[in-house]
Amino acid sequence: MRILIIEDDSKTADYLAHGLREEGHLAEICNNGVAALSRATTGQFDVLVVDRMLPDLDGLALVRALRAAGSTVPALFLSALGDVEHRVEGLEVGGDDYLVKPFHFSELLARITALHRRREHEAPSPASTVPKVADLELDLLTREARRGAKVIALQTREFQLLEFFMRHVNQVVTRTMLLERVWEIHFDPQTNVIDVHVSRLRGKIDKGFDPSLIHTVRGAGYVMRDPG
Amino acid sequence: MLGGSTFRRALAIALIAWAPGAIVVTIAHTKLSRFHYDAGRQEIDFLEEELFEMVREHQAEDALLGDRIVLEPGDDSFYAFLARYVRQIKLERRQATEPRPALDYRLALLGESKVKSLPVEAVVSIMLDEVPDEFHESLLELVAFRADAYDDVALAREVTTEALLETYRRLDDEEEVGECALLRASDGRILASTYDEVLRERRPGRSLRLLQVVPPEEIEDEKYWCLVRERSLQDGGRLKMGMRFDDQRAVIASSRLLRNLVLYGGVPLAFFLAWLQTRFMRRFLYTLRLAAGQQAKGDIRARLRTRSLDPDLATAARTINVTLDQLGHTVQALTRVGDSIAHDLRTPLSRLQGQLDLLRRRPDPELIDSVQAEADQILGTFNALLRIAQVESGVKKQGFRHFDFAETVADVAELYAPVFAEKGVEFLWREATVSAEKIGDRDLWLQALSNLVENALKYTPKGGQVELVLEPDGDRHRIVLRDSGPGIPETERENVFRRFYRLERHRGERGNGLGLSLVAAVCDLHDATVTLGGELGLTVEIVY
Repeated sequence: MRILIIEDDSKTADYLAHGLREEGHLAEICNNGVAALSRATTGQFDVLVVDRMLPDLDGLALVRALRAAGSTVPALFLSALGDVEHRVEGLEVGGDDYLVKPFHFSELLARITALHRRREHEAPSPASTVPKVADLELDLLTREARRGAKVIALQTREFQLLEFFMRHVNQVVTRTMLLERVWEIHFDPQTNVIDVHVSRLRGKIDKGFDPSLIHTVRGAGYVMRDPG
Repeated sequence: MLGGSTFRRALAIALIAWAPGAIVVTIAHTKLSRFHYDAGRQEIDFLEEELFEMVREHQAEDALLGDRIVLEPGDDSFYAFLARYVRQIKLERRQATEPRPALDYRLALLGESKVKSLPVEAVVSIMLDEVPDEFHESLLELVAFRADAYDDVALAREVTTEALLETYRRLDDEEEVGECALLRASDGRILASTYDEVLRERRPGRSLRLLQVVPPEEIEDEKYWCLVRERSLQDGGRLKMGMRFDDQRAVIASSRLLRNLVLYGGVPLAFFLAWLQTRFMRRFLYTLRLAAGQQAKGDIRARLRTRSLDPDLATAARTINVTLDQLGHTVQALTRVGDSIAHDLRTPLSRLQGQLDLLRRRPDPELIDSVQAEADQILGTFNALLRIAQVESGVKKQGFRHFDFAETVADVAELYAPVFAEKGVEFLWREATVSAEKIGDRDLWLQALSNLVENALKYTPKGGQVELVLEPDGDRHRIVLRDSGPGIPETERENVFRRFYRLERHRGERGNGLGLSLVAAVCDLHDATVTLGGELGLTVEIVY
């Protein structure tokens, strides 16, 4: 993946580039908004990582300008501004995701991957289709899950959680992503509340079945693997 | 300036100065009333109306405070002023053997023939016979003639008992607290009095006296003080004028009161009151300066003295003290937070350092997790601190939106229910209300409520019980969160809302001591109240 890091703090930028290269990506650094604008429009990048506060053209203006110019390259905001209003601003100008500093590198990596995937599978499956992973099926109309021949009863939130996993199959999903997308919670609880919910879900869809679909990824979160 | 000191003292109403070739009158009082100036043994009456006649002649109809009127040689008012002035100087000279002022300009007058071109001081000199007459006889005649003419007018308007009684009757309709007056005719008959017997009993006297008055028993009144002065009137009548002090309150003379005091009691009384007020003001300023000085030196306990001050100043002093109290609390809180940050973060940071050290020698995935957790904990503390500060600053109010409070509480309950189950704590969630539409910040409530629920989860032992109830309370809503944990001693309940405050028995446990601070800040932001209670376990009650 070709990733453009737009960040004026050189230490952060270096650390991000280093980490992304270790993961096998091509990372390029741009330390100001104006240069980033021309680089992003000319270079063929898969994902942009944009700091909101830049010395000249700020991140919001940059992404807005890119979108106005017709660029659809996925952009992920990185910012110390983490209020809901800030996130909304970021998404409104055309950002695709918003990550609040400080963050774990694994979190960033998971989100970049998710963004890239989403783009590759452009024209996402319509809501009426039945997501399917191995022998696990989710009927969005009847709100039913089925594994093999067995119908699994799910509570509303469990259903949403499972749907999220199935739509991000083979992607690392972090706890923060789950909190944000499934529960719409934008802070980190002190307790392992997500782990408990995931473990309950696993108990319902994995226990007694083979192979297991949801796996823990150490230091990052979870992944639903399609063994097929 | 030539011998103007006596006159200047009298200029509470008009401030007069000599400019080259002219007299400048600055209006310092705009009320039309008679103004008496008592200069020791002589008494000169000066009619303020006269001054205002001049004002009308020279300026617009309504002269304002601070307006300046320039009287120039050739105007009638110019001579009127000079006539009075010279008369006064002459009277004073007769009694006092002060040396005559040097007459530097005497020679300069030689050859002058028109008043208009003379400096004012020169004209005064001429009138005081300080310029050799033989040179300026005609000039002197002109000035003297006008001076006499104005004197006559002034004398005809001397105060009479009748005139005063007339004024008094007018004033009587609008009772002025704190004033008392007694007017006698020349035969001793009492013509008018405000404060019954009080002033009659007293010996007559011209000087200003402060008397303690003990009212007769049938008058249910407390003892009070009275500032009294008596003066004789032109036709033999006498006026006794007093000012009553229940306390210092009466000293706050309204402008009307002051005017009347000037009218009846004379300038000294007015000056005395002004002096008293000045003294209060000075003491106030002194105590203010003292407190400010101590504050500047770092003594945040310094306060203003509020006793024995004039009531308005005492109120001001109390207001300042309240402000200082609040400031003091803030400073203390800041100091405490600063100390706590230093203390609470040093421990995890040194642990972090130690773990990194170990890691260098022996790579170990578990140790990495532990390092990560430690760093997360530190960052979490900072985030929580920032969040609390942000909430307390009130900027979050800008993000207030409509949201369903009942749904928010349900979200939290639903989020934690499985965690309680896993720990083996019974979690009872009772929702007595379906929807609770409110304007606020859903995110902050989610976090505040999560903090409370996590506390309950943390401190309630296995087999215990936690109950969460949402119910209507008038047009508000009440959340009750009850746990069967160890609770918080009553004496500690206020403290736990402070940043970094942790109960002794919880020291060393996981947690940053900021959870309840955020709850308090969020409740405060939303005008909600939070109270801690409970006999066994802890009960948190929020009314929003």
